[in-house]
Order: sequence, then C-alpha cells, then structure tokens
Amino acid sequence: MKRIVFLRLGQMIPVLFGVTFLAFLLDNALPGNIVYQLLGDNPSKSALHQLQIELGLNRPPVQRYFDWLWQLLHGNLGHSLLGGQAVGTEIWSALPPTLELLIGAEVVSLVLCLTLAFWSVWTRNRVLDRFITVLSLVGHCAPGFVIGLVALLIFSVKLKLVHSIYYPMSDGVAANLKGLVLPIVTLAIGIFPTQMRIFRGDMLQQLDHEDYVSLARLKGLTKGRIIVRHVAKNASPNLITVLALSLGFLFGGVIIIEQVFTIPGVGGLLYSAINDHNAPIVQAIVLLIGVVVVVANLLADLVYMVLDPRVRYES
Amino acid sequence: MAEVLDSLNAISEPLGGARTAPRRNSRFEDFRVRLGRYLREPEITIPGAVLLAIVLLCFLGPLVLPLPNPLTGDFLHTLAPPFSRGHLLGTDYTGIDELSRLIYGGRVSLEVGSCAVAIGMIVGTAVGTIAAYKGHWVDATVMRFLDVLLAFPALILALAIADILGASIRNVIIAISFFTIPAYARLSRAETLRMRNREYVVASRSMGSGTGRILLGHIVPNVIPVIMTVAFLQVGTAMLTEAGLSYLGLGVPIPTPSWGNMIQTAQGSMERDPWPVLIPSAVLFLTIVCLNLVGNGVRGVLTSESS
Repeated sequence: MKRIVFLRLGQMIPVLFGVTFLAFLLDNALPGNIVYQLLGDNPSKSALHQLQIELGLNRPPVQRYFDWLWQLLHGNLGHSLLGGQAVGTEIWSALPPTLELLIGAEVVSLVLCLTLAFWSVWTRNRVLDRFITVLSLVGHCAPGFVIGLVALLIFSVKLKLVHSIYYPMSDGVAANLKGLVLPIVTLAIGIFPTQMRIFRGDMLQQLDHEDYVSLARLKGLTKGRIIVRHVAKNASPNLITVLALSLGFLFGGVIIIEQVFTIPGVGGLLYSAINDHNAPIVQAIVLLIGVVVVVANLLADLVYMVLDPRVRYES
Repeated sequence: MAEVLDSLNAISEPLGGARTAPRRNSRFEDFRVRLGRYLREPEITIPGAVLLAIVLLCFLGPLVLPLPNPLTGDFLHTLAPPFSRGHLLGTDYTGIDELSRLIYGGRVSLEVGSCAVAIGMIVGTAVGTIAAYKGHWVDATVMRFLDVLLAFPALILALAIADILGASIRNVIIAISFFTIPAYARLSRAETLRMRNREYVVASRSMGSGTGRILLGHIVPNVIPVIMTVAFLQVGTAMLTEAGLSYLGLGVPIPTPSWGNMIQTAQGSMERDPWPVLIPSAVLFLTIVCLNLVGNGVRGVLTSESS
C-alpha cells in the first residue's frame, strides 16, 4: 500500500512539471501584446523597449520559464502586468465566490445523484427510470450557459425570486444564497448525470449479480440494510473517481457561469486576464487548476484503493 | 463456467471490434450488415432523421431557400417577434433575420464540431496506435503527455489556445481538436494493445512486414469501428465547447454567425425579447441531444453484437 502511494506520488511529478510547462507556454506565445495594451496602438520604439525591460519580457522565454519556476518554488507567483499587484493576492480575493460555487455544485450534485440513484434502485420503477434517463440527457446535452440564461429569465426576470447578481457573504447569508442558488444548481445539473448513472449502474450490478447479496437476503437482512450497508458501500469506488473527474469539468463550467451571472470569481479573473494577455495571472490560474485536478484524481485513486482492497493487492 | 468466460470476454471487449482480421471483400459486406442493424433500431433512426434534417437544412438551406443576408440587418425591424411578416423566426437587435442567422450559424457550428473531431480522431488514433505498438519509452512518454492534457479542463485549454492563435473559425477548430486527442489516443491505444499480438499480426510481422504496413494494414482498420462509435458523442461535446467559446467571445468571431455567438449577442436584450436567446439555444440543445442518442444507440448495437 505504502509502495503504491509513493509510486503514484512519483508519477505525479512529471505530470505536474508538464502542467507548469504548458501553463507557461499557453500565454507566452504572444508576449508583446500586453505592452501594446498598456501603451496604446502606436507606441514609440523607446517606450516599447523600456516597458519590455521593466516587465522582464525582453529575456528569452526559456530563461523566463525557469525564473518563473524558481520563484514558484519559493511560493512567489509574480505580479500582475496590468496593476502590479501580487498575483497571489488577486487570486486569493477572487477565491471565495468560486469556492462557494464549486463546493455548492458538488454538494447539490451529490444530493441529486444519491437521492435519484437510491430511489431508482429501491423502487425499480420503470417510469422513474425513464424520467431519470431524460433528466440526465438534458443535463448532459444542455450547455451550462443556456440553462443559466433560461433559469435567469424565469426565476429572476419574470418571477423575481432570486437575485441576478452576486452578493458577498458580508452582505448577509440570505442575499449571498439568493444570488448563488441559480449558478450552483446550473453547474450541478451539468455534472450529476454522469455521477448518478455510474452509481446507479454499479448498485444494480451488485444487487443482481453478486452472491453476497443473495446470502444477505437469505440471512433475512432488510432491503434497506442490504442496499445502504452493503451494496452502496461496494458501489462507491467508481462514484468517487467520477466525483474527482467532475472537478475538472466544473472548472470549465465556472468560467462560463461566472460570466452569465457576473460573479467576480477566479473564472472571471482568468477570463479578463486572457483578454488582456496578462500572462502571470493566466499562468497562475491555469497552474492552480491543473494542480487541483491532478491532486484530486490522485486522492480519488487512493480512496479507491482503500475502499476496494482488490486493487491494492493486485498491483 | 462457459458463461463466466463469456461474461469476462464481454467485459474485456466492451465495444466488440473485429476479433479476426476481416478479409477485404467481406469488410464491405460487414459494413452493409451492420448498417442494416442500425437502421432497425428506432432509438437510432428517429434522432438520426432529426439530425439529418438539421444538417440538410443548414447545408442545403442557403442554396434553396430565399434567405435574407445573415450579416446585414434591417434597422427598421429590430427585435421582431417570431412569425412576423417576412421574418419567420423574427429578427435580432440589429434587425438581422433570425432564421437566416440560425441556418448559416448552424453550418458554422456543425463544421467546427465535425472538423475538430475529425482532426482529433486522426491525430489521436495515430498517436495511440503508434504508442501502443512501439511500447517502452515511446508509450510512457505519450501517456504522460496525455495525462498533462487531461489534467486541464477542456474549456480552459481551448480558451488559452484560441486566445494565442486569435479568434477565427480555423483556430477554434484547432483549439477544440486539441482536447479530443486524448480520448481517441487512449481508446486506440487500448485496442492496439489487445491486437498487437494476435495471430495475423504476428504472422504478418514474421513475413517481414514493417511497422507502417502492420499498423495501416492490420491494426488501424480494426481500431476504426471502435473509434467511430465515440465520434457522434464527441461531435456533440465539440459543439458544446464551440458554443461555450463563442459565448465567451473567444470562438467564432462576430459577424460570422454561430449558435454560440448568437446567444451571446442576444443576451443583452434578453429581458425585452427572449426569443433570439431561446431559439438558437433550443436548436443547439436539440442537435446535441440527437447526436448523443445516435451515439448511444450505435454503441448499444456494437455492445450487443459482441456479447
């Protein structure tokens, strides 16, 4: 077990290294643009040159990459090219709404997934299964911004039930939730179908094909006890993998959803930084997302090993 | 016992594929039989027909129907509701006919989706089969590289690539094709690993065939059916990403219409007139639902064939 953990941690290093490289590469293909952004369309040659030196953009890319990596190892993410603020502070201040969105969406999605999966497995109702299939098709196929805009139109513009913009926690929990409920549900609708399909499928597979279920029935265990204590537990490993994978999808969704609902989060920061060619911020956020996704997948693999001893012993 | 073995086979070969090397004359026959089987499934034919109708309308519509120019509007009739005179689906906030924009935009969205998947499929299959066939360090390097690509949420990667290359239809296609590569590479790698030591491959190798000949002649033809089943689903995902990118203003550049940027431009006047948002949204949704249904149906047939 320990050996596998270390092996997996070792495998993570080249991947993380690749992530930093890609993050650097992504926004350095056009290094000149920010200079034009700052100086206008027709800057004088000397001003251009001076600003490039000031921002450190005159050095060769390889050197900049290793400088950046070295600073990174010291926990220094660099400074924004536009305002000069520390990138770390900028991201830190944009983090709360994004975290609320991510956590909220995972929680709502998990609640939806568990409720529907248990309900379906418990009743084995054809009509319910049809409904679930249609619901997951909708969640899978409708673009997040379409769901978001339609929800905004119905619940905010027409019914005036919720706020259409974000209120920070400091304006009160109620206002905060009223602004966040639509984006959270929109994000959750995008990710719950996969989770539910996997969990429900695994539970049905266990119920119908595993000897231990028959044995439990013969022993006289109640249906609820069999499903919750045994079947659900044995069906959970794949669900956890999918949960970790959904995080990557959520990051993509957050960028769009923050635009739809004008939420001042990390997605919005990334979006404006991309438009401004503000390389340090883009790099830092892309790196952050890459690291979170890689670590989440690693954790999921480890939890999988804990829950399913077969994986542990086979490898 | 036989049952257990069968079910194990079904698990290890979920997508069937060809078990033995099909002879050239029987391959066409195979295709015909398989096509017939698909056409018997209502779960494939109904969404397939809708999809075909959408595709035909988008590609033939501009040639046949008397559509107004999708780029210039009639400023006297802005935000006309659907079914108004001369504008079946109304007009947007600059007075451009919605139906015309929808059809021309559909062409762009469908083109971007299918081209991106085609590129991703070709590159991914090449990378996956070569990695699996060569093995050793080639395989290890490619797999780590794919891990890195997979670590990035598709949209963020596409966003950054589209930004670097600049907004144009061609660049959106490149950006989206980039992240369809890992799925195909992984799939074709798994298939190649299963096939690399089959009798006919070993036989061909011992007769002196080179790597290129074995890959193109024996392995790729057997990987293709498996790859194709995912294509429909992938086109749907690619179109979703295109819509997302265009919605953010980093995809298909205005004034060229695409379903994504139509929604974005109409968003501002959504409170007064929701139709320019709702109509392209509904069509986009319908298209992607059909792509998914057809994709699932095709996969279902292949799975039942193999078991």
